[in-house]
Amino acid sequence: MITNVVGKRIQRIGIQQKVTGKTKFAADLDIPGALTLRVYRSPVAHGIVRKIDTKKAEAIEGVVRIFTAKDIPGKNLYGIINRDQTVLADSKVRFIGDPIALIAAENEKSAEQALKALEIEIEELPAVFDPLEALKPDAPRIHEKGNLLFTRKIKRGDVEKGFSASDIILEETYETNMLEHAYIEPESGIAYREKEGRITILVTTQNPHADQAQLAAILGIGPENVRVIQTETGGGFGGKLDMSVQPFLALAAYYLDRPVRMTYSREESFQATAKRHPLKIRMKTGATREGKLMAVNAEIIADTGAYGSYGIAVATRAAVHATGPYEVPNVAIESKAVYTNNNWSGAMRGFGVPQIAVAHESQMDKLADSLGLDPISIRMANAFKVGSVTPTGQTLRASVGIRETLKKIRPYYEKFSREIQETQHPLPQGVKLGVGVASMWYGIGNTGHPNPSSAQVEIDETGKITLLTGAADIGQGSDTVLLQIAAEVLGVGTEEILLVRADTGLTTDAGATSASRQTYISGRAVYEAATKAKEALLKKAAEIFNAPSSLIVCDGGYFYPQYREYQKIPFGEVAKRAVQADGVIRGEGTFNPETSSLDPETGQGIPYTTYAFATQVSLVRVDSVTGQVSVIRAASAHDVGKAVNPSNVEGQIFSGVAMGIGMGLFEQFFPNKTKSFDTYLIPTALDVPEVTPIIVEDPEPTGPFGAKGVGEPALIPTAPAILNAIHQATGRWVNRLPADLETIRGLVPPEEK
Amino acid sequence: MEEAELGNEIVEISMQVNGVSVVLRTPANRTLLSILREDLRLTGAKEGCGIGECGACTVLMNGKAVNACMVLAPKADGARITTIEGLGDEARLHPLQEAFVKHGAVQCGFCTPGMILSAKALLDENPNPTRLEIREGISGNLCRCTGYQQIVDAIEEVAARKQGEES
Amino acid sequence: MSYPAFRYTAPRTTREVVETLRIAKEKGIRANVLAGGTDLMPQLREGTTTPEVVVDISRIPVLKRIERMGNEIRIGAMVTHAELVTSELVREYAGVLSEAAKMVGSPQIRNLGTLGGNVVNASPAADTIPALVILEAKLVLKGPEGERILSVTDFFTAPYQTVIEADELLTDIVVPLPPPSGRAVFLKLARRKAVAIARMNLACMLYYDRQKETFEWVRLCVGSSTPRPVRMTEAEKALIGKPFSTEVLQEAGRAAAEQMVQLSGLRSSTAYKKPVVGDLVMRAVRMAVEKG
Ligand code: FES
Ligand code: FES
Repeated sequence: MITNVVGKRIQRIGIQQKVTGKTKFAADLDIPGALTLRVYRSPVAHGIVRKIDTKKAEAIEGVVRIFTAKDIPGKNLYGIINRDQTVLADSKVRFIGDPIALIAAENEKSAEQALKALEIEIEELPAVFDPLEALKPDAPRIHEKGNLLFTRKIKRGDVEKGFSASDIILEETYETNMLEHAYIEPESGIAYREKEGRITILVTTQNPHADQAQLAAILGIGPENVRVIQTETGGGFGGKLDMSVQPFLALAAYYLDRPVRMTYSREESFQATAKRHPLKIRMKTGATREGKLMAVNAEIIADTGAYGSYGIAVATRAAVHATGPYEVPNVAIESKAVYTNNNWSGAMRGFGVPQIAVAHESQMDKLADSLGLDPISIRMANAFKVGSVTPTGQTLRASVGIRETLKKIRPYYEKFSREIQETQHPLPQGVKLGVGVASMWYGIGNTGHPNPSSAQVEIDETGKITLLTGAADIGQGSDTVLLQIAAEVLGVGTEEILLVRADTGLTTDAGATSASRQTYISGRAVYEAATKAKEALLKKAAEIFNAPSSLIVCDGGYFYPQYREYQKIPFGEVAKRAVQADGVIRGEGTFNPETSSLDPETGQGIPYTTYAFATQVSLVRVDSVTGQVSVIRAASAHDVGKAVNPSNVEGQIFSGVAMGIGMGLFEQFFPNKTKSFDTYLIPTALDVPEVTPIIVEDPEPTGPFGAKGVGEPALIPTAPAILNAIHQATGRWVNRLPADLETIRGLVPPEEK
Repeated sequence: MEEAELGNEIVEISMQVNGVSVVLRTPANRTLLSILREDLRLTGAKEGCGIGECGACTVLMNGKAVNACMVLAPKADGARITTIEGLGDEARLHPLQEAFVKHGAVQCGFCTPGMILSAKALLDENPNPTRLEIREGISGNLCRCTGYQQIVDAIEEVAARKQGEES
Repeated sequence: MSYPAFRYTAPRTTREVVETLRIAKEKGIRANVLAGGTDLMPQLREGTTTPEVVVDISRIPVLKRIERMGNEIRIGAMVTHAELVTSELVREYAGVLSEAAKMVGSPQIRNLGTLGGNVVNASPAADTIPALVILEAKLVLKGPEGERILSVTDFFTAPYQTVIEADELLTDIVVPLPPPSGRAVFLKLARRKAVAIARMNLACMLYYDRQKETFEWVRLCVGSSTPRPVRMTEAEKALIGKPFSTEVLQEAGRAAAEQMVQLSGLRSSTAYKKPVVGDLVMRAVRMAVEKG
């Protein structure tokens, strides 16, 4: 298909404001007279709040009001999947940082004094920080229903038979690290009550419509009485899917006749918000001598910390993706999400898949190593193709680009390997080089749940086009991509469309900006909306030209009958006439990819309509003396269906590699120890190599112009590729993230250094 | 006399901000960042950490990149400060801003003002940096979104263009 | 986040600074000297330092000079890391200090942070300190009674602890010109390539006589590994008078590792640091010798 706007490197919407510093993030908004909010947080990991005395704090000058659980008018329980989290503790606190009281004050200083003056007594309870301990019958009980949040099982074929038919069986355990999203913009928002009583919240978020619903429940009012407007959002990576400052802002605005504002410090952002689930994985893989996978059996334990958040989704995704993008006839997976008194874990770029990929990709390389196969060949021998059946029993019907990504990566694998052999200057003692490959698959959208999106395209009598979408652009670029899709359909440029986005007062629900779903799902909704709007115009143009509408061309901002371009009429003119005749044109688009819920016992079903695929190779330098590992080069090939905006896709690939380097080599969040960016290290420009992005386009028939998604896939193969490269360099496997100084130093015995 | 030597809680600061003289009285226990953001409403400089680790608050002080969160406000007395607002506007983008736009070197944009100012300081000092030197020059600016590559591309292009103009 | 209130003063002379500190001390008022601020500012935010008076020493021109005086280089306490990196004098005569300064924080931090601040803060991980130790630098402290000069190794007592009095100001760091035959190396080991606290850093300077095939003299200091910065004398001894060979290097590495453990005792980090110290010493010595 020839496209004019889709597939082009269109400038990102709003980028001019961003480079000039004009863009207003929530903390930049000027709200005269706004009160400051601060939260008193639990200093203990597990306990019962026995007493809250606010008198002294309230007496402090400038303190306007102090809220506790009893002030919550609606339900003091929220959570995106399972509701188990309190806005302010009603009796129990479950991690260090659990909110207990909320202070509204005239200024920062008074709020801080009030924090110190609050008299709060907590009876400390025994706490548990290890998910395996938490599962024991005598473990401290963190939630009423027990510490097991959820179990996901997937069963297909007969694993025992599969293992007996295998020539080689490998069983290993893996552990992944607790991570912080570390978006550079800390959580922030403002709220006020409008004259008519509606509570309006402007906030950094990935999830405006879900926020609205949850806030309405907390306040005990109808959702129409809450308006959530997404402010420009400085990154999210899943960490802004759960609410942060929203409930506090809403509660204060509900009671007080003053605007309120709240911005987390970096320290509070680290302490109070979700983390990436650390996983413990036992994986047993069987294969034939030729490297054909016969069976995979895995047990996964995810530490969801104090609250569920997205724990169920993470446990499910880890299970669904546990085999990697390979045909495996016999599969038995059990994946659990378990409560502990650690910081709560939630969604983070990839929902469990970056973690499980460490296991399945290490297993692939271990098999290849034992069988004397090269890492690309063994993957190719097993990779999905059209017609393959996944562990959940789904037959892949189209857009299965994994093999193409492997093909595209092979030359880089060979090139990097050659570079090692041809390295001229001798390396310092103990320094070794290695090349590593890893692949991944990633289902787009929510797992086995409906996840609809909607959008509207409106055209008024002046020809002005407006695209309305509830999708929150958090920096990844969905605004631009959605405009490109609408513009392509309507035959105009993106600059001719006005965008209204992510405001529950003006736009309809597009679902969360998560699961790499906005391009595919909201993109398709936009496509539908624009198509409907265009049809109305085509009808009018057909009348004007007195020709069937199927023969009318809409392109370059004009309408004309096929082969009679000289008769062209401007888009605006047709719009004007159409609107005069029939009123404002409004194309309504929705899309909900086909999924079916997974069987609770066997996990069989259709978790997603479509999947993204990728393969990455990296060249790594391992200093076995110091334990330092650096990634020197990387190439990453991604099947995105169709790159609506190649610059954006490449940007996601670079971004994913960088984040994966942090995950693989040094990021680790220690509950109650990690406070800020001085101890939580994310990659700097010097820690990231030059990356070659490779775009593979195996179109997805249900996607807009064939597009799928790339946001999370970009990250997933990075850490496993690094681990596999470390093995090639040192002959040793690392089964535990991060592969930090101590791990690597201990890996290689002195005589090999 | 003796007490006077111990100074005051309120100080007077005069500085040039983006070419404009500014005089203000303020408690001494504040940062340059809070003066810029709260008193002067120049919100291009961001607070990402407040402890000198992220670079989101980077501004130029007497031509050098500094973390505005690490500068006690009275230290800026007499200084020349350049914030992103003083670099260029949409009608007349600074070449670095233009290159960032062209290369898509921006995602969420939260790190961008600080990143561009670090890049400017780098190029002012070293007009012809290698890619590695560019990476060093922006190593105090964390970006979680872009993976830095398009940022390096953008800065490299400006450097190359400058070189071209000079030769 | 608001910082505790304090009074602020920015004297124009070192004498005024000392006078201010003296008055504060006399009155029992907590006073902190503010140099570049890169250590003090985070402490103010965290609330770990709560000064009643902040004495800003950035308005004193003499503290910013770098001068050669006879056989010494005198570096004012307010000279920034960035200036150490670019200063011709420092690069020529105390290159290892330049190298070390280049490893500090980020470009922004190097523009603010000062050598004097780095020294007085006395972090065991400070990058410039091992360099100063092997340069046998001296520190000039000015107090109400006048100046005293001490060797950099006598200045530190424990992590973040020094002998400086509340009414004293570090004014200068004096670096005697090292013998021109010396070859120096600075290595930093951290979890990340920039803006990272050293897991270990090492400064080494030596003269290897190729004719005689012996190490004539060696100075070694490993940071972030001992409670206070010291010369790795045992390792130095293991090298001096010996030829450049794997066995000799190994012996020096072993000696350094043992000295570290002896000084800092067994800690959770010892399992990593002990072997690494040894290997890093070997690597640094080799690199220095290879410099010719
Ligand atoms: S806010 Fe200043 S460095 Fe992070
Ligand atoms: S663009 Fe988001 S942090 Fe850099």
